[in-house]
Amino acid sequence: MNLSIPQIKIKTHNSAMDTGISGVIKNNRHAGNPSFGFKPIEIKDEGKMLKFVHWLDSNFDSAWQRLVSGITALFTQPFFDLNNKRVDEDTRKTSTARTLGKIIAGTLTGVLIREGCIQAVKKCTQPKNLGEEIKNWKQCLLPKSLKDASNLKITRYRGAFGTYAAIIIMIATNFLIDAPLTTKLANYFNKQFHKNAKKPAEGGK
Amino acid sequence: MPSLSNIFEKMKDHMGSSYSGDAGKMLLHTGTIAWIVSSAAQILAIIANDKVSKEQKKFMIPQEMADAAINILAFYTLTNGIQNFTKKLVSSGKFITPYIKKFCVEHEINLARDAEENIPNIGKAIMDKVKEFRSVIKVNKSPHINLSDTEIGTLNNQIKELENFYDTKYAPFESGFKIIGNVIGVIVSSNIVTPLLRNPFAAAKQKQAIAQEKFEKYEQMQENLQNPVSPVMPMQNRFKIEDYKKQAVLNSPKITSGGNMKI
Repeated sequence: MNLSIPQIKIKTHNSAMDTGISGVIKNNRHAGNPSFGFKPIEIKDEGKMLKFVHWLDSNFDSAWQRLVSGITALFTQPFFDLNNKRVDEDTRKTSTARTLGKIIAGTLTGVLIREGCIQAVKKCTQPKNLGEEIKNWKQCLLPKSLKDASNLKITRYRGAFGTYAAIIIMIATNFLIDAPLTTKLANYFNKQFHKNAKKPAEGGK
Repeated sequence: MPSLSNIFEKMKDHMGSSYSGDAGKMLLHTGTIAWIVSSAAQILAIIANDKVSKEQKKFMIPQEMADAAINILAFYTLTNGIQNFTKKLVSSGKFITPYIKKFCVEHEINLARDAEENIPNIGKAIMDKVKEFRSVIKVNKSPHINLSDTEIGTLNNQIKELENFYDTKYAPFESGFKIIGNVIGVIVSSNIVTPLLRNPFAAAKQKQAIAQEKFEKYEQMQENLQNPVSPVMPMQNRFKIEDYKKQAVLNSPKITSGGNMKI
């Protein structure tokens, strides 16, 4: 028995079912009627939003993640510390000072080390263009499975490898740089908070 | 026994296959591992610190562990949940571009709940179609089915078209939304939920530490009174609660609301 596909352009589930080859495909009666509860939101092709979404996919790595996390932390965490009614005012100020110190020190080192490692990995994961001679060390961190992969896939891999390398480095810098820098910054902010708090009292004398 | 270079190659391959197709997954995994490593480093630092007494360690290590558990669990569960949600908004067609919509309609990919009320999944539907067409070509090799070369060519073109659409249009759109979810998850978990959960815990621990310190000083004073070495304890050496609070907060990251140092 000869079975042939009835239409040359095979697109539909039903046409596949006609061949008797696949019986698992579901009825497609709702096709083209996009809704499950509320209206879908359309994002313009070639619009700024779509460009931003694509930019995120191809450029947003862990260094960006740490930077965004650090900047937003500056706006939220000190607020929670300053409004923590469970401790006295003095502790609130000192705690806020330390939180600010931690955020600034952690973000600075976190972003710089992550970005540095990702850039270093980039040097050793260069894709080979057709007919191009490339030194071995420039591909020493590139896995075999990605030698012919797209730039986007290689960029994501660099982000992952660079971040893991950065995490290992940051175990040491956490104590060597972050901790002393946090203490210095915390002491500075603490002094400023207490200085500002004393001013009105001195003015009243 | 596998050599070091083999292990390194396998590690690179594993990293390549795991993360080259999914930036959101990479950000979630590396973020969680960064929290685990920084928390473990803090705990090890306390264990290895000779200046911290055994009694203090008994108090500080469980506290640090509880702090780490809050950080890691809040980060992983919230970030994972939110990024899966934003991914689903795209895969179900809730957020869609006119191009993707047109492609789905042309290729009869469900954008609405089906007869069994299953939520549509555009990405899966595309890949299912590719698999299905491939199986048609594969089965064609059997003696019962005989597709013409033109029909096989058409099927191959369909596969290429679907894969190209998936790689260049759909996957970056879905992945970008997953990253938006990741960013929201990181902000909500690390900068809002964790400090809110940790502040009451840290305050309770601070009170406990102050009470303990007061009790120890009281006991010391009682001992001094019963067995005086010097006639009167000098005024400047006496314990002041305000000084202790300042020292506790400044010197020990354990008693602040900031918790572990994030790397």
